[in-house]
Amino acid sequence: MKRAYTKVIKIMALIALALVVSLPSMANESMTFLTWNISIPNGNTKDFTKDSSSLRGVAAEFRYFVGPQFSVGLYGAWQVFNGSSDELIAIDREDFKGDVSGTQWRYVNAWPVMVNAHFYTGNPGGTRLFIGAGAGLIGIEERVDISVIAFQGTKWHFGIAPEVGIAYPLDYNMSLIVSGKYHYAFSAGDRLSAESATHSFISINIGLSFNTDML
Amino acid sequence: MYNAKIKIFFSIRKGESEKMTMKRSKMTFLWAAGLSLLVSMWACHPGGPEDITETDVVMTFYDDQFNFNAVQTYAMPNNVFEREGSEDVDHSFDGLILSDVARNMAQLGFVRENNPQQNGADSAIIVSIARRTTTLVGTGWWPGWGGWWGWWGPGWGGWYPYPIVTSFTTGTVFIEMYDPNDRDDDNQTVPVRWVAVANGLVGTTQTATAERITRAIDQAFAQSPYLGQR
Repeated sequence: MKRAYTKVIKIMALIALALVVSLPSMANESMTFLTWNISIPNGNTKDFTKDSSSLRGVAAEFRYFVGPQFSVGLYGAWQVFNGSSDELIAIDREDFKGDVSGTQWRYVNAWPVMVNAHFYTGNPGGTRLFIGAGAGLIGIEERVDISVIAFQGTKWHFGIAPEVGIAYPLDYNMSLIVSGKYHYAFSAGDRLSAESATHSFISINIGLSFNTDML
Repeated sequence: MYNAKIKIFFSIRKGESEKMTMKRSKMTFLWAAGLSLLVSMWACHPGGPEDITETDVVMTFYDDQFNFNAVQTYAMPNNVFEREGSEDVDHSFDGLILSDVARNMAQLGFVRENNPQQNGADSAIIVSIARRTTTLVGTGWWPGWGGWWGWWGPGWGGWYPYPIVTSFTTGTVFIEMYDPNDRDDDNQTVPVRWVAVANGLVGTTQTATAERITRAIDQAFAQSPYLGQR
């Protein structure tokens, strides 16, 4: 877990830092996003974590305009869901059966890493609506802590992330970004949460973008 | 082109050149990037137990092929045994443990046989306890806290060039229901039809520990409704 965590952080940091530093040298229009993500789990993610919402989310994104209304880009994020449960855990194996009771702390860490494309309305320099989608990988770590024991598993799922949002210019080359994004991780086999488990959550992303030669 | 009609906090300041505006915007964004990196150092697994009693766990396992309805009587020694390999244990709670088990068995309708050698019994309840200290030794890099701006850099991780040692001690109560009428004399084994294992961290007061033991034993019987089907 620590290895995956540090790897993702390093990748996100390198992407954000390298892009921001090199932005002035880029000849074409681009946007570099940093957002705080508020997420609502649903489906299996909600059932497993017993979490209703998460304020622990951060994302970095780079978009390169291949036309005045169209961009392609890279997206990386990290979202933490956590909750607790006192539900009885039933064990039903062929050779024995039983039950386990005790406070459980449940966690899902999600790391989407995707390529994306967006379409924009409006004109450069003004308020712009955008709609698009990303596709790539979503790393999912599931963990259950009970007493002094932890059960944990991490897998990379194929995932998609459609998005709609607005870029509101604040400055010569900075915009306020507000968007809604739906993350869906397809099944990657049996997980702690369920057989053939999928994961999904909706994010409200609020942040800033640093823009070059646009807006 | 920047729309000069937009009046926001970040708008162009009077007399400021375009170059200065861009520089200020870039610095603002770098500050935001740095803040995001700090924020990203928060825990992967927030929350967790805030009280030692939240680490208590009760596990029960049973033979689903066994007919518990056939068990009417049970024998139970007036001793709490120590598990093989256990560290030294505190026997001051033995009386409480035995009385809690007897109370729960009576509530389920079982009758205790006090002279099993003469009268026999349908089952035997053996209670035992164990104590174990687990020691963890490790080195390595720990993610920075990110909440304190040390002069070497915000959010940098700490690295321990020497081993760090942590340990915790747990206590466990075992309640086993043996079936002596189905014993294997050749291999000298007796099947266990039901077992309850109650485990928790050691470290509370005598009163709190007694409460935790009673609560755990009651929970073990509460989550085993098949015992009371008769």
